[in-house]
Amino acid sequence: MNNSLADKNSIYGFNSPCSKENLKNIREFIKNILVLKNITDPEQNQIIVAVDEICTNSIVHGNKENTNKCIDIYCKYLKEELVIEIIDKGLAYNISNYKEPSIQQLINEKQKGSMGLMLVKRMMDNIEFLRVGDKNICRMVKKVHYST
Amino acid sequence: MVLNKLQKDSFLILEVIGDLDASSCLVLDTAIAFAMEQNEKAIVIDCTKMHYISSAGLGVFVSYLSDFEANGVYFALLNVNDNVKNILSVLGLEKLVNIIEQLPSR
Repeated sequence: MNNSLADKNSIYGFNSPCSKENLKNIREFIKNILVLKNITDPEQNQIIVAVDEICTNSIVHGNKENTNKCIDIYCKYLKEELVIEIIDKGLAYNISNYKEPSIQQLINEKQKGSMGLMLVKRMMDNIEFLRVGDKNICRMVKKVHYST
Repeated sequence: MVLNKLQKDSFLILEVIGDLDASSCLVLDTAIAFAMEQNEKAIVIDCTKMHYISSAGLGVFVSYLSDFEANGVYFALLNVNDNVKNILSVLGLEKLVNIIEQLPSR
């Protein structure tokens, strides 16, 4: 990461092929941005998990793990908030169809999925899904605290 | 992620080293499925060297909880770090899964 990214007005960007093997690189990118601003734990881990979850959904469901496709991730600090956008050109996700299951329901049904968005909604302050032209944009906002 | 299998007394210990995410969770899933086939009665996930978990990793545990209960299988997470504990608590899973700091005597 070069020094220009330390500018608080910078937009940090990362591009990744739609492969689950790249999730670790995506997490590393987000962690670098959070460390740069001394974001406190557990906020740091919660943000990393939230980005991981949305990227996993995009890679697996939106883009069917097609490594010829890409997702772009942009982050920007706005005062006490971190705004993150995850952009792809895969299948659109309609959050209005989402009904949060209970954990007990998932246990009874032996489900492995459905917890990703649950986590994101509980850990981030805002999340919205937009369709702009041929792009899907997931925008998340988290209030952050800077450690001294 | 690396998964080590160890047998200690009556416990099958699955040691997760690294990150448990969507790209690696199938390894653990397969190991637990095999342990259930072998009628293991005490399965412990050693999280001492597990640095990170996403919902895909949590999903593996959640999908077996009813089978553990139905088959009388003791299941626990050993030495969970604070970040993983936080993620478990966000979902209320810390009340549903044994979280231990050392193996119980059996």
